[in-house]
Amino acid sequence: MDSLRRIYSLGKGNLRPIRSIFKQRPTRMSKAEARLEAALNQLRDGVPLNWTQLEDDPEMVTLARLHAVAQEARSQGLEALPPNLQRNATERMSTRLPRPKQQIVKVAPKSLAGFSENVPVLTQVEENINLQSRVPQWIGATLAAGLLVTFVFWWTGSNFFSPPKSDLTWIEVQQGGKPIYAANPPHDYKAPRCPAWTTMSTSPYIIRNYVPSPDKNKAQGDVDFPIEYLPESVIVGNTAYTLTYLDTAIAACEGPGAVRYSNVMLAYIAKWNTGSGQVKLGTMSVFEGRRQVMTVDAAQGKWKSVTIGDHKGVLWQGAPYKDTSGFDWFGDTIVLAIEHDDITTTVVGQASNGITEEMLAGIIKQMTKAPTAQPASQYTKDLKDGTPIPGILLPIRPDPNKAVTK
Amino acid sequence: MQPGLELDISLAKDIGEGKREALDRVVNRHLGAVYRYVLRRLGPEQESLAADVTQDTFYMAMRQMKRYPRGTRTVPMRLWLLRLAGKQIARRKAKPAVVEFEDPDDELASLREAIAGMHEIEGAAIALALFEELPPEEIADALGVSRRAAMRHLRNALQRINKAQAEELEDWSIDG
Repeated sequence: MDSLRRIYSLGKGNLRPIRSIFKQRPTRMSKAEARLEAALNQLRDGVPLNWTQLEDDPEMVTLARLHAVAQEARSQGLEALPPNLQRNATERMSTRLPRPKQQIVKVAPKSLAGFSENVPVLTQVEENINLQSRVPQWIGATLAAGLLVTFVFWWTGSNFFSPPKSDLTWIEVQQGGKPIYAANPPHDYKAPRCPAWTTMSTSPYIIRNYVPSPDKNKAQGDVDFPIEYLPESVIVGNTAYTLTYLDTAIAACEGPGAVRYSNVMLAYIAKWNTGSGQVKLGTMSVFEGRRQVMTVDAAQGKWKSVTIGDHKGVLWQGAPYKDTSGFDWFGDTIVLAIEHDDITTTVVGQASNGITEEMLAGIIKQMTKAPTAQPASQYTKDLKDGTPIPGILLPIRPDPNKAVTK
Repeated sequence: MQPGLELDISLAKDIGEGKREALDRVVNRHLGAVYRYVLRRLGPEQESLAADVTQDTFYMAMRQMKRYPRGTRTVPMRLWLLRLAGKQIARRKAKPAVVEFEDPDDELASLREAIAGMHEIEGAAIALALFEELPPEEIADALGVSRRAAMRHLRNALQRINKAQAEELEDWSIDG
């Protein structure tokens, strides 16, 4: 009926509705094609095909068998790309790169110096010409000008071209091993030295050994800060995403104060909700640590400082990126590192798969609004002298002033 | 609009205006995905050939970059590049390496060979579904056809594999 009404409006010279009818028309599929589509989605979600799906359908049996066979192929090519491939591809492509359009700037015709045809030149009164040498004056003037230029260069250099001053405590951007956006940890802070963690000689990243945790409760018990889990879904503008939690892993510091410098890694699958279904965008990793300096390497990508609510941090985008578990992210990778109090949260995703800056910012915004910390191990700060003491886990005591409602 | 698509379109436009940074960014974003797809189709023994096909794919993309942003039917650049990579594999008649002592139980090698012997679009459909694990709508976008047509090509590919296996079994029983 609705469709008929729209077609009726065609008679009134409105062509738009009929076009939208065709646009919105769902794809008609045969039963076999629809079954195949459902089977593909099911296998992608890691659910094997059941007997009803396989019965009397040899193609479906083959699909199920080959999907398992192809598992080996899916794990191939995840190592580094061949050397020079990127450079060679870019160089070949650049031979076909059109020349950038040059903007034509119209230059106003100049009149001859000191002469204009429109202005009558008056005869001048004869001047007294000083015949004494002006060389010493010229030398003095040149030296003064030189000094002035040097001063101007020094002043602009120190005020405009010095690295921007960071207001971050735990996040640092480095280039060639030198901080260009330095973290400012407390003056008495000593970086943890954990034998199980290795420092890369070629990059500023510290690689930690993560051990999968059987469940969220166990993971929470192993760290001294509330683990923040990502929200299950995020809406950014008109786009909705689903974040499916996979697992948690802990990198415990085996040095003195073992629990104190533990680091958490959370794994998620990001999916884009199309309206008719979901499209997998790829895996996302989240790293959380307390009182640990988190570093990003500016040499491998572009970065900028960001503020999301009361969280400050750095957004980095480039390739490749080695995360703190030692995993290399190839392709365009996006990293959002933010800090809140003394906890840093780093979210890593593949930009080439559709993980965007806006999406990461949306996730952090939502986390700020509704903290998703697990209540398994209650955590509080020691408020003895009003300052938090790191590494102290205390059970939350019921507030005696609060009425208990049942 | 699919996430990342807006950026892909703007990068393609920037390349059309001769901006080198946009070109670097496109290669950075998609080189890994295209190389992996080609390598998975040809097998790990064909690393060098996979690198050549990947380079050819990007060169071909450069020539067709103006045609990439096409109104509402524009697909993410990654899928468009996978489509071009499939065409390059077919154009170069690139095949998995011939192994001297073939292991009859190596089903993956047999699958790769079967894909190489198929019609271009059917081979691409099954490779995208199995090697890349793309969802049906992305398979359709990467093939440049409707979802219905993509599923039809995939079913045809599966039928071909079944038929080839049945023939092989028949030969084996006659020989035996």
